[in-house]
Amino acid sequence: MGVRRSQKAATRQRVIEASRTLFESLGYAETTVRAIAREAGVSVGSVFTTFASKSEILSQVMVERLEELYAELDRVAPLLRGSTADRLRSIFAIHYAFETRRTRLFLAHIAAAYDWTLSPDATPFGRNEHLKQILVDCLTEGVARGDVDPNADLALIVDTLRATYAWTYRLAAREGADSAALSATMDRHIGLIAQGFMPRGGEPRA
Amino acid sequence: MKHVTGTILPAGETQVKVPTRRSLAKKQTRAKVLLAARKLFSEQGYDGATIRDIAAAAGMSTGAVFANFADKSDLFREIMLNDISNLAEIMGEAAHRARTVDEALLKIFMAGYAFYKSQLPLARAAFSISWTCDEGQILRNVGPVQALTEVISDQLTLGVERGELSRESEVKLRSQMLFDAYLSNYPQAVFGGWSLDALQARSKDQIRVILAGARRG
Repeated sequence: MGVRRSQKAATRQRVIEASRTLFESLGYAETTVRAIAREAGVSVGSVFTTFASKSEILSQVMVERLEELYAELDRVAPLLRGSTADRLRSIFAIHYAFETRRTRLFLAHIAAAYDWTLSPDATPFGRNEHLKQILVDCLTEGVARGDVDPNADLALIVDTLRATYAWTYRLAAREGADSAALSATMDRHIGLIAQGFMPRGGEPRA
Repeated sequence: MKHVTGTILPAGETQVKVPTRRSLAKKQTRAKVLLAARKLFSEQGYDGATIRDIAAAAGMSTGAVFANFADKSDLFREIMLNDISNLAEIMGEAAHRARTVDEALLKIFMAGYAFYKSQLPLARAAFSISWTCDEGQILRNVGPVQALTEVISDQLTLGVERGELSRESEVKLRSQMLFDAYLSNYPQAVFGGWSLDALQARSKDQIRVILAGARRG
């Protein structure tokens, strides 16, 4: 890697780290690019040669955060035991535990999905394919184990779970709910959905 | 006069329930500000619309705007809450004509999508705002917002009474989930440009999945 390119990569990393800190402590809307540059120890100009906009910085911060989360999930997923509903509960509990470490940052990420001026380079909340795949896999295994009805519409169940997961997060915005409270609510929602996808008759096999 | 676009729906603001002590003139000023603000929020988004622009569009000074509203978020909240309480009424009426729970819920969802279809930029700004910590807290437990979930839970309760749904349907939790599903389709409507037909097909499936467990005794 040339000196120029490695310098650019270093600037990029410093801007991302500075932004992650400021978005969480000050809030996304309150954080200016000038403040990010100061915190990162670079010029405003070099922030803008690396990123097109503040929303793109947020998007990149989240890409890194989510890589960490999904690395954790990929590690844990094969170890999950119990019924499909319980496995789903674990998957979402891991999400909430991870996200509530930086609640304001995550709320900014969700709000940005509706941002008026969203840059085309940004990946807003809800377009993450990785979570979708993890849930599809979990339900497909459930069909094989026999506690998910083979006739159930898995894609639809996954969409419903994702909607509930996202909107349950509003308890963090409105009531300052912590990870345990979010997971407890989600656990009950999953119970309701599971009633609908369990095979008729017969207890689910664990 | 015929409006060229369908993006502005001033009906809500002209019926603002203002305390009687306010004079008629003040009412008119507020209505004018709200109308101008709605137009600008729709066109520019929440951050893009300034109080200065709103005042200019309403043909008054920024001072006159501030005499009526504490700040921009106050103004925006009033527009939002007006819409929501109008919508709760429209949804309630739509559900009234249905014969089954599924049909009632679908009519409720569709009344919402039809209501916002012509003013998606405003809906988008509202969503964005509602996810911020400060506004989120203010909006918590606001009457009109609760009225929307109550429209849904009323229908589930009716379904239980009619024997369509089991007694152990956990009406409150299930209503929340249905409301979540209803809201979750807005990004598709906003970014995906989904038609009302597409939203209807999707809503129908979601309602079926969420009610599935409640049909088993």
